Amino acid sequence: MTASSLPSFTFRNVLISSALLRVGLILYSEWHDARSLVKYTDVDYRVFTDAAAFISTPGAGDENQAAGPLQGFFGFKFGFGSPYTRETYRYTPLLALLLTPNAWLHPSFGKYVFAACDLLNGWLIYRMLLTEIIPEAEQSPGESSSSGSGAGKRRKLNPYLEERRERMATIYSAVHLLNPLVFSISTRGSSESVLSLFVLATLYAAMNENWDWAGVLLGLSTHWKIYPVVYGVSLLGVITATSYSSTERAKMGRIATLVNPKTIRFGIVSASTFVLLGASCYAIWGYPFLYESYLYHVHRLDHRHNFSPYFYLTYLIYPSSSPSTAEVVPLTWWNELIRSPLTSFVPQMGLALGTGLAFGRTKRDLVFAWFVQTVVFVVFNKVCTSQYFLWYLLLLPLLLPELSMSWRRAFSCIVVWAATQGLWLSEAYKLEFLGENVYFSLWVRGLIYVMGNCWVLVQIMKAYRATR
Amino acid sequence: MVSKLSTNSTLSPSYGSHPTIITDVQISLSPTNSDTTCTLFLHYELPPLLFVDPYELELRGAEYQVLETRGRGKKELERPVHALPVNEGDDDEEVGVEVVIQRTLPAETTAPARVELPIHVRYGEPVASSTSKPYTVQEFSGPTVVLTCSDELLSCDRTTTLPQLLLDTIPTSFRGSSLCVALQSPDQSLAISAPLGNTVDLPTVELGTTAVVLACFAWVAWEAWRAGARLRGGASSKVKSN
Repeated sequence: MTASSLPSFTFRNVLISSALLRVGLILYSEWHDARSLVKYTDVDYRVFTDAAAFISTPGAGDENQAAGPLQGFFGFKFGFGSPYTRETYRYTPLLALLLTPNAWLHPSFGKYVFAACDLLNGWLIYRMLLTEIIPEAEQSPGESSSSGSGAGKRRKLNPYLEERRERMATIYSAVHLLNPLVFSISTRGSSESVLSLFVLATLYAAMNENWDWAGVLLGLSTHWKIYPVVYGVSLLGVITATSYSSTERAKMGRIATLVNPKTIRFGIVSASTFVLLGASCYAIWGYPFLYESYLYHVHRLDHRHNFSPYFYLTYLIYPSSSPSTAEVVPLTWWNELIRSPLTSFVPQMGLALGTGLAFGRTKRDLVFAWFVQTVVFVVFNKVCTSQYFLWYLLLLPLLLPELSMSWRRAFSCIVVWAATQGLWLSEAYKLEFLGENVYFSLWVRGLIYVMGNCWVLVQIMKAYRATR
Repeated sequence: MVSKLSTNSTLSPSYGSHPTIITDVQISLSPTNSDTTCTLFLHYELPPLLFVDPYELELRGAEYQVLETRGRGKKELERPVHALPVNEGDDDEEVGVEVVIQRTLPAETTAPARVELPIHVRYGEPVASSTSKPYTVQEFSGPTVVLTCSDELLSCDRTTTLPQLLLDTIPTSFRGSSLCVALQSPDQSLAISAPLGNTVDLPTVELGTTAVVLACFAWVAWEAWRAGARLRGGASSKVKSN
């Protein structure tokens, strides 16, 4: 029995099933958490909820007050507290504002918001697959639709082809909607689906060549979390490809394909959105917003174990608050270089930006560019937890129609991706729950995680639009 | 009223990053009075290696209330022990966080009262070790337990000097002759084993991390260049054929 023979396998039914699944899990989480000390709900959700409570209930005097210079507008006092009163809240205040109904409406309000974002994401994935990606993939691998085609120029299709596209779009969007990692993370109260919505909306606007909207949404995405800024690089080439004819582009040098009136406008719109949001938040919440949302992440030292092999190095060289009085051996230039933040930053950003420039040349390749950029950003980051995987898994359903690999190779990729995590998790369990000294072997497994994920990425790059 | 108060604390488990201090408080009141209400106050003094998450403790509101949390590392939940702030005037660097919790007991309590405090272990300061798997064993005491009842308690210890934080935290209405104090026996101190990083690994870790990251960077960059060339080649072919 195939998916196509299932009588009710439509996107509408997949969406309804996904919604019911999420509602069921949220209701279960309330039942479970009321009866068990081991909570279904993620720790982060408690952080968001506490921050939302702080933001809506300022304290007396200087206690829990928004610290920005703008406390009111034309005589109207905002009366905000500070979400940063909550330790470990390191996000935009807009997230805490979004979740203020957790206190006065229902504690699970935020989970329903995150689940709704999941469903919207599934719909966006479906629409992009149906209207842009699958039609493009049905051309030969070397072909690409002409620039400037945009949305709306659709040939009239025969019903069989239309049905086939809808079926494929439904299957691929179900990969996201019914992915256990996706629905468990949102129903546990992680906010990743909100950022995913902004990223997918940016991509949707780009695919429809609404570049002003894409700029606004990219600015919003980057305000929410910094990493989407790398997508801007790949969008520059695509803007040029869709805004100028091939004759005009042939006369442009490489620099001009990246810097021209259209891309400058896009950059201004995107940067202005980011600055406006940041300035507004700073005006109300002041330096704590700036520090916790952005500056903290520049200087953070993640010494606790995580998938990235950098954790052990960070732990071993973590600066002490009371340095030893023993003689300090000066570092060699080699040590200085290795320990420099640039040693991790340059490979990560070099690849994230470089692959954006390399692959961001046509609208058809935009999903591939973003996928590769996100994977390298995550794999080469100095810290990596399971939630980071969502950043690129989000784009995988959109990429699948353009991948040509054997079932054996595909299976190998899945096994390697999962096995490197399993290898690391089995050792991390010994450290965290059994108290065994496995730092060195955990570090080795972190290296294996990096190598394994790079191997998977290379296979995907080779399989992308490969000749069948 | 004659009362006896004794306490026994254990650490479960005595390894790992997330153990729980389990304190069993044995109370015997004679004669009992159904109108009598009693309250337990427990004062924990944790070494810097250990800490509590105050927000996690709030979730145990049905069992007890946290009256006060203070000390080194109260807010720095994410730092290793050697990176905790050192405040001027801190005479005792061996003391980290102090916690005071309150638990109301049902009338006519005869069964032991069990109080569970979840704690967490920071990363310890790395050491140079030839054995390559160094550990530290951190010893500490169980909580100081204070019992107060609405009826006057007799025949119980109230001579032990209470920690200042406990004195400051117990409401004045509970003080006076209605206090009983129990301490963990010194030969029953708690101990947790925690692994430490080994600085002997540092050269290998530096070299290995850098080598693998740079090698993977070069590999991915090379394959990305090849993929880009293939895609551009395909696009060029289409233009030529058109």
